[in-house]
Amino acid sequence: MSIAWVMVAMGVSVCTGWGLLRALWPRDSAYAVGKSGLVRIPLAIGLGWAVGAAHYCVWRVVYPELEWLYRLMDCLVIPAAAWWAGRMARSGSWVPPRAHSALQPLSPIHRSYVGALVGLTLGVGIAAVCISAAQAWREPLGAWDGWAIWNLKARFLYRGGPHWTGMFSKDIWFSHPDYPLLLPASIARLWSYLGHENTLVPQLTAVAATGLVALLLFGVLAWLRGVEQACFGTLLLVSSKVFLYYGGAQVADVPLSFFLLGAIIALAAAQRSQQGVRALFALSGVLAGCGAMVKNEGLVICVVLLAACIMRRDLRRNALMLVMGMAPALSLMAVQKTLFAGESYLVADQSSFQAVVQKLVDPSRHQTIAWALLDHNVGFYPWRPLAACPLAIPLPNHPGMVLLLLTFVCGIWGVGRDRLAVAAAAVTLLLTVGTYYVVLLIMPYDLATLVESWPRLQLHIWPSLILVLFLMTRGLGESEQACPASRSLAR
Amino acid sequence: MTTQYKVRAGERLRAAGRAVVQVAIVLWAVLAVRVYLDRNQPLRQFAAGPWHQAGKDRFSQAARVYLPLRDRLRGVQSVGFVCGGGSEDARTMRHYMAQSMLAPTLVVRWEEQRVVIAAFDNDGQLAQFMLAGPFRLREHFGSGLAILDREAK
Repeated sequence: MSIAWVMVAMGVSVCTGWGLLRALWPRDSAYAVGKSGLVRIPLAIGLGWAVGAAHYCVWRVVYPELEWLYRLMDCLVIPAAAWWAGRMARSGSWVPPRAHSALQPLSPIHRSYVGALVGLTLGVGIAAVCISAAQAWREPLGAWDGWAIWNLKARFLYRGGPHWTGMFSKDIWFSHPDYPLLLPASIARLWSYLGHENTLVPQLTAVAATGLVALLLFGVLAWLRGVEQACFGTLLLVSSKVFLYYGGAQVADVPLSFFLLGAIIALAAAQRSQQGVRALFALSGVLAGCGAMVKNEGLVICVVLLAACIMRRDLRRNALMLVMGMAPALSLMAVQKTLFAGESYLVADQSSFQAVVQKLVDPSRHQTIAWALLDHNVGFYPWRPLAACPLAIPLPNHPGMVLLLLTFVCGIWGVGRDRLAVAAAAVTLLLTVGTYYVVLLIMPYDLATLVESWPRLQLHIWPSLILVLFLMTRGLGESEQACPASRSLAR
Repeated sequence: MTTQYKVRAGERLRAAGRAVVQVAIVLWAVLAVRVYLDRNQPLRQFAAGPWHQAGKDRFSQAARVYLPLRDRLRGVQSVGFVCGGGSEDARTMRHYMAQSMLAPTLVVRWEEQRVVIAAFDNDGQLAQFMLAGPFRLREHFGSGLAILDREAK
């Protein structure tokens, strides 16, 4: 086994993902790869990644002694099946995305400005990926959760042989035996192709996930809102300290944010499609399901996404497709949780139902969490340029959030064709935050320590929040003359 | 006329606001990335070489200690773990790190295990622990780290 095998494994993953995406993404000559390529490529990589990891887990459980069969299936049968499914799928046609250049041709000055902005975004994006890589390099085993949970599980999967199920032992409760295995399995899969263990695979996986999230956000904003908006959205994402730190920390939070973003993009794409809407809902479900295979919080996201779609009458008829998309991943999760993993500590460590109710109505717990939420997002800290400086400048804890809110305030309301998808996505994000809030509230551990994890939880929705707020408004930089709504207002 | 004037004034105000936010986003992104680049020093990190040389973080240092134990414990299903000294956080980290490094061997509480890993700050603490308990030294790795066997009663 060697590097060549690893390249093959990654290549077949991309082929598998691309095949699946072809099956679920409507085809049209004008909007095939050219316009939506930056959306489809990261999504295909993510899908292939998830399928490879899921198959690795299936192999470990169902036929662990037949490694040759695993490789045959992984490198040949599954990609071929996905490719065949992609070829067989019916194509749909698209409502063209609102092409800004078609509405108002750019002046040479504006073109130069957009070019400079793209260059700047590219430079900042590359620097951000380098920062994440440096973070991964500096802590090669990952941050605490990286080595104590995710890489630990990967080692059990890779080294464990028949004893890999030891990872579910209650004796090592600190590694959260009930956590899903997509990230560890994808690392163990590459180690098995490599033939030995190293720290480079989890490091590269973490950095690649970070890059994919940035690329996906840029791609979707460029596709739905234009390149200029894409640049501002991506700059907001990559300048976030939490995103960069956890990008290199080898934890599952950034991959989860990728799948949530993907699920919302598929919903938005469904709004643009005249045919193939059901397939796009299924794709949204598949991506949300992949999120559930990354972290338990992904299960919450599946539920709230479904609830958000059921709430809207226009989306309700496709909710079944959403469920069908989620079904394969959720079935795997059900098998893991019922046959292998024990009860979640969230349930197991609760002393009684009364204790839960008591926590829910305890005002001091509400105050602690609400304060942590507010402090992280719109709080300020005093910054002194020099230690001896008597005057401190108040700087925001999370400048990205402040700027995003300002973007929302200054943008013009212009949801337009994306109205339903944006509404569903916004409800999903709100319900996700609400659920996280309640979970923190009833956690059977010290709340003061738990609320420190709020920035990490918020990271799950951060790229999606940028997308939704940019889709809710006409965002930054667009001339108002190009907007029919503002023209009618002016008359 | 007044309404039209108000709408235009509103448009201008929003346009000005958007321009300010645009500039702020660009400035913030450049500044943030510049600060994080300074803090992380990617080029220096990468130039320092592979992880086992470059990993100077506390996790890598804690992990390196357990690498020699991996071969010795191959095939053992579970071992006990005992450590002392340092803060509670540091002791927790040692235990979890031992588990992470020695998987798939389960590294669990030491009281009921036949084979125990002792990870103390120094050999003095290790000797003290052995005096107090029914253990025989199987292998000593220096700096308070050893594999112990529980003596039969």
